Amino acid sequence: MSASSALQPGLPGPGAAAPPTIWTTIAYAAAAGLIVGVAASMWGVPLPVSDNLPILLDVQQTSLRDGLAVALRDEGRLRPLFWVQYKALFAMSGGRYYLAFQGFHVAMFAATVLLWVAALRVRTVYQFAGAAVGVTVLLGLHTFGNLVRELPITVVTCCALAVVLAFMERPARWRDALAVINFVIAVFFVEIGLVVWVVHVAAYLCGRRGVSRGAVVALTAVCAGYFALRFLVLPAGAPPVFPRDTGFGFANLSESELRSEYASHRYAIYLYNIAASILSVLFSEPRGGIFEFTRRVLADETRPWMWVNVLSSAATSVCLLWFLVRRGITLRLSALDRDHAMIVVALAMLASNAVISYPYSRDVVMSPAGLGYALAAAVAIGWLLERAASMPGFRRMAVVGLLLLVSIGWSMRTIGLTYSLRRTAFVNRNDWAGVEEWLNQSGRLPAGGPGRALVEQLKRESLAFRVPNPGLAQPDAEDFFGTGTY
Amino acid sequence: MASDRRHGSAWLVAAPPLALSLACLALTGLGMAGANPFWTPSDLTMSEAAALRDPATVLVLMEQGQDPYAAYPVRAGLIDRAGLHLTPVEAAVREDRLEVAAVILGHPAWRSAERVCHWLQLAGAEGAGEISRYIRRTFPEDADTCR
Repeated sequence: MSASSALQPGLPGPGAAAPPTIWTTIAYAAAAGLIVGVAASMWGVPLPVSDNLPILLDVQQTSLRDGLAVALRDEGRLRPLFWVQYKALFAMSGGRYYLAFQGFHVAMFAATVLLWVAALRVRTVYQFAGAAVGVTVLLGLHTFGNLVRELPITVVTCCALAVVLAFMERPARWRDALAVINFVIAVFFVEIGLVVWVVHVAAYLCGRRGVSRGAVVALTAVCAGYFALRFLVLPAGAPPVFPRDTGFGFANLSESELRSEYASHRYAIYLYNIAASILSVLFSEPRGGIFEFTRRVLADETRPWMWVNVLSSAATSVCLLWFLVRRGITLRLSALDRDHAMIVVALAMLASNAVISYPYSRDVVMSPAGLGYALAAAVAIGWLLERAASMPGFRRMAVVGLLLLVSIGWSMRTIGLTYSLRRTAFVNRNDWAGVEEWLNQSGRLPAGGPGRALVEQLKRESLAFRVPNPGLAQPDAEDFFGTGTY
Repeated sequence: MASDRRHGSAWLVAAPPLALSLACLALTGLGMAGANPFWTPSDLTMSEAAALRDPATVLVLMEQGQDPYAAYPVRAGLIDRAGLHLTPVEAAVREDRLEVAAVILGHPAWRSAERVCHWLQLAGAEGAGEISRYIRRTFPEDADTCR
């Protein structure tokens, strides 16, 4: 603590964060309204069938010990905590499955958005405006939308927590410990949890000292331990060459097509997937590896929401580029200020997320990068607004006009998220209507006992949801706001 | 003055998300009172649900005791410009809604060889190929008895 602040209690010392302001409160309030609105829509969505029911039946019939043993013997992936989360929620639900699973999902969603706001540390009117637009970037981006529609969101919450911890002004032991625990949870939940380590290392290199050097060393040791465990101890190893279908150009390639026709060009496919994932976050095109917007433009089959998606993303990425060009790109990362460091960390998240996701391209697997992109957008928009304030009249109006259009575009995409949740509610409820046949086709329909009772209870509860039919309830609005998917 | 102008620019850019945030709160309040216009459950007859690819509602109405072989009104604009009076089976066949056929035919209370033949006949007349193929694949023995 400096001598002056030691003499004047209440003043922040060097390295301490400036205290919250009224703009901090307004930024949280704006985010809270959006959280409430999206959470209310999420609460009307029945649990997804195909992504959840088989796991629920599995955790019902398997003990924690046996389930963990199976998860650790998996080949091609290492996700024991994914299974443990389902088991724990199932055990704690007391038979109120929707409350446990969707309640946890909604709580994690709210925590993620609040952590996202906390990471920005809003103090000025410009930062507030950047955060207000940025939160719609977070919610309106297709990567996050897919995440909200599916379960679970845990890894993105871990990434948001990592950014908050990494960007604190100085380390504390408890935060160091939390950073390591957070990384262990993320990385053993799903592979993209490795992005948490990237956040900490990138932030440390950029001069952020929210976690100590010792903690960064510990995080790196955990990362090395993860790879050793995965490749030397357990049978997980690398993912299969082509674990699932993926988009390429204007079409989707099935697993069998990939294996038969592209096996000798697999590295080219991987490079394509990495590039497609990065472009998808920056420009909302391609989606899942498919250049669907381009195809529709060529076929004259576009709808307004598609233009809104691509143009809002492109304009936001231009803002990021503007920031980087004007602020300069330097190798002296440790000299970067907080805003600049945030954007560099976001770019590191984008690159690492895309590389980790090399085997296939999917919107949802880029959700950590989407969180970073929204942080970067908030910072860049706040910075641009601050710069615009000192520009001459016409230039100021042009910049503010561009930012206003960006803001309107992302707000429309956030409305699209609620439309997509409404459509998901309709689809999920209808999936439950034919659940027995679906399970029967894959030979997984329990003949009786607790398994059959679970299916019947979930089906009964899902059919009881009162869901609007998208064919009747404002069907034309979807043309402008979209439903999250082509 | 300059400060007001700068704040004005920031407020202007933040206005759309702020308006959306307030709208979210208002709509959530309306939703708690069952009056959210964007999340108002649609009141459908079984035939309308069949035409609108909504097998869950068809199933719920069947479980409530409604007959999928009785005729119900279908509002204008859904299948035809004019309002119609159709059975859910007819509505599903006219719109080639395979998933609705699967729910009705798969329901133990409503499955019989006679009904399978009725579906096949309707599907053939309306050119509902998906439904015809589904019935022949799923109920091969019943379908073989149809003339």
